[in-house]
Formats: sequence, structure tokens, C-alpha cells
Amino acid sequence: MIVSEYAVIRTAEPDDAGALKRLYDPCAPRCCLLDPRGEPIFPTFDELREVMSKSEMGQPFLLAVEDKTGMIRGFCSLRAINMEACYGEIVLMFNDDADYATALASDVLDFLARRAFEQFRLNKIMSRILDSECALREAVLRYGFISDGVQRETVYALGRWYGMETLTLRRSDTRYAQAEVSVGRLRRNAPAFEAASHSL
Amino acid sequence: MALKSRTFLRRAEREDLDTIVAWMEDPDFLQFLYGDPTRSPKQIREQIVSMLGRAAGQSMPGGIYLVIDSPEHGPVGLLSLQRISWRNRSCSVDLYMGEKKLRNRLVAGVAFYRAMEYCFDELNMHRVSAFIYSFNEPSWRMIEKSGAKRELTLEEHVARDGKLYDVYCYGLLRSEFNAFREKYQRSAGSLMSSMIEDRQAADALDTKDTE
Repeated sequence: MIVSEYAVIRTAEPDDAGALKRLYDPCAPRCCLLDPRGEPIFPTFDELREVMSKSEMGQPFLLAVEDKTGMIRGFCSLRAINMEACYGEIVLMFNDDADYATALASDVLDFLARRAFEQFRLNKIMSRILDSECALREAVLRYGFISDGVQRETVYALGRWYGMETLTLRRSDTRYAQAEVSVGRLRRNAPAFEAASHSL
Repeated sequence: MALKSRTFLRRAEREDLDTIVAWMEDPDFLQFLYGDPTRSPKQIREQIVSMLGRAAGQSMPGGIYLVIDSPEHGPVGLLSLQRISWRNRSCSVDLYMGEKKLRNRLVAGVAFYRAMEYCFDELNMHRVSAFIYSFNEPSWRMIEKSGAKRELTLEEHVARDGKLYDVYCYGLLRSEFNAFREKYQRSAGSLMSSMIEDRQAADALDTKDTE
């Protein structure tokens, strides 16, 4: 469990399936909840419970984000990690769009960046966003992500086309850039470092 | 499934297997398409064979794999349409020219044009995407000529031989392909005919030289 100034980030449990199901809103498609073909999916409660008990590369599939009162505000994740090309994709989703403009979002993005750049030593993280997800887009831009471009008319929902934007945060553009220089030093202790990564 | 020109698309037959396996043994195949160095040739072969075996006649397949054929040269390449979304009417395309001597821009261009005709006119796609590595310049130059827009540049996104390279994502919408087709309809037809004739003339010369 990670306790930051505004957020508590912990492994999502099957019992959190109800909170996750609320994010699958047919009236507000989210890019991170589309399937690999870009189609919206609407899983059942049981399917979500099953997904939440899985892990990817030794790390939990999904992390729950709570506020200081213990209420689940949303979920986050670092997924699709490509160790060969050193990148991964972040997932950040709040139930209430207003949360993207708060310190809670900054705390979660800090956590994801630290996880990607320090723990997994990735070179970049990406966020994929539909053009309707304005609040999330503003949050990641504010954090330093830069747009790689928009795939036009990729998703069809609610009677209209949505573009899908990919935004990237490179390690060299963050305060973790220094860690890149010290990768050689870290690699000398690689077995211990790898063990720490896998123990999650 | 035969389309109007002499280069056409068809489903793979059992007899194509040896040709396709021979293409797969070419290092270019790994370099440009299936670059995971950890996979054994056997695994790749089994994957391709299983892909080609999938029925394109199925009503809503998630992927379609076709052989690019021509009466003059026989099977010349592979076309794969992947991540087909029938809801979004979109797919991503990979095109591999197995015959190296036919890898000039015109032959690949005709094959790509046929592939797009198939996607938009037969499958009723709205959008076709292509992810192309930056070092594969002939491919992205060719796709740009078809009216596709470079929508994404993913920097240092693919590893080859210990180096990271950029990946470009191109998107071609139905309206853009139709505009391209309308603009070049006449010239494209004559261009293709002259290309085929040029190629035949070159082949005839090659045969004569060999004799």
C-alpha cells in the first residue's frame, strides 16, 4: 500500500469489482477500457472479480485509488510493459472527472511515473485517450506528457466517431532523467533490483 | 475474390505452403514483420500456417490473411488484416512482398492498392491503419502516396539489433481512399498496365540474357 499526501494506492481486490463496474459507463467511453480492437466492452460483475485477481509481470493488474477517507475514487495501473523497447502504458481513471484536476491525480501520476522509471527502468510511458476524455488529457498534459498524435475516427460509439490520442512522457523529460545516467550503477545490483520488481 | 487487374488477392491454398515457408526463412521477414527474436522459426511457421488456415469465409473473423498472386509470377506476397473491428469498421494492415525481385515500389503499390480496394469495397471498412517501422522507408513512402496520413510518431518504440527505432502509424479513411481513387483513376489504370508491361519486358530480357 502506498500512502501519499492525498491518495492511498493499493492492490485492487475482487471486492472492488463494484467500484470498477461503475467506470464502464456506456455514455462515457474510456480509452483504457476498450478491447484491443478499440471496441467498448461491458463485463459482468463476476468477470471483473476474476480480472482483479490476476496479475501482469508480477505486478497487480489494477490498483485502487482511495482518498484519505477510504473511499475508492478510481483505479490506476501500469500495463503492457515492453521490456525490450522499455515502455509501458499507464491507466488512470476516476469516477468523477473533477478529480483529474486535483492533487489526487498528481499523486497517482507521481506514483505511476516512479514505478515506471525507477522500478522498471522504462524509457517512456504512454497514455491513450479518446478525444472526449478532456479532463484526463489536461491532467497528463499538466504532468508533462506530450502528444504523439491522434488516430482519427478510430472508435464508433454513441452515434459518432472518436479519435484516439497517444501521449508520451519520456524519462529524459522528468526528474527521473538522472536515474537513467545511473542505470549502469543499478545494473551492478541487478539481481537484487529484479528480485524487488518481482516481489510485488 | 479476383479483382480487376492482373494482381489479385485470394485465400491461401495448401500448395502455397512451401512458398510461404521459404519467405519466412528470409531475415527480412523477421526484420519487417515478426521481430521477436525469442520465437523459434518453428513457432513462427506454426503461427503463419494457423493464420492462413483460418477461414476468411467466416462471417465476422478477427483477422484475414490472404495471398497476393499474379498470373505472371505466382504467389508474390502476403496480406494480413488484423484487429478487425466490425463495430468500428477498422483494421490494421500488414503487407509483405515475399518475392524480392518484385519489391520495387510499383508492384508493392499495386498490391497495396488492391488491399485497400478489398478493405473498403468488399469489407466495408471505414478506416485502415498501418504501423510501419521508420527504417522501412520504401513502405511508408508508398503508403503516403495512397493518401494515408501519418497520425502518430512513436519515438524509440521498437527494438531491432540492440537499437531503438521510431514507429509510424498511418491512417487511411474511406473518404481519403475514394478521393485518391477518383483523382488518379485514369492515370492509375494506365500506370498499372504500363507497370505490368514493363515488368514483363524486363522479365523477357532477363530470360533472354540467361539463355
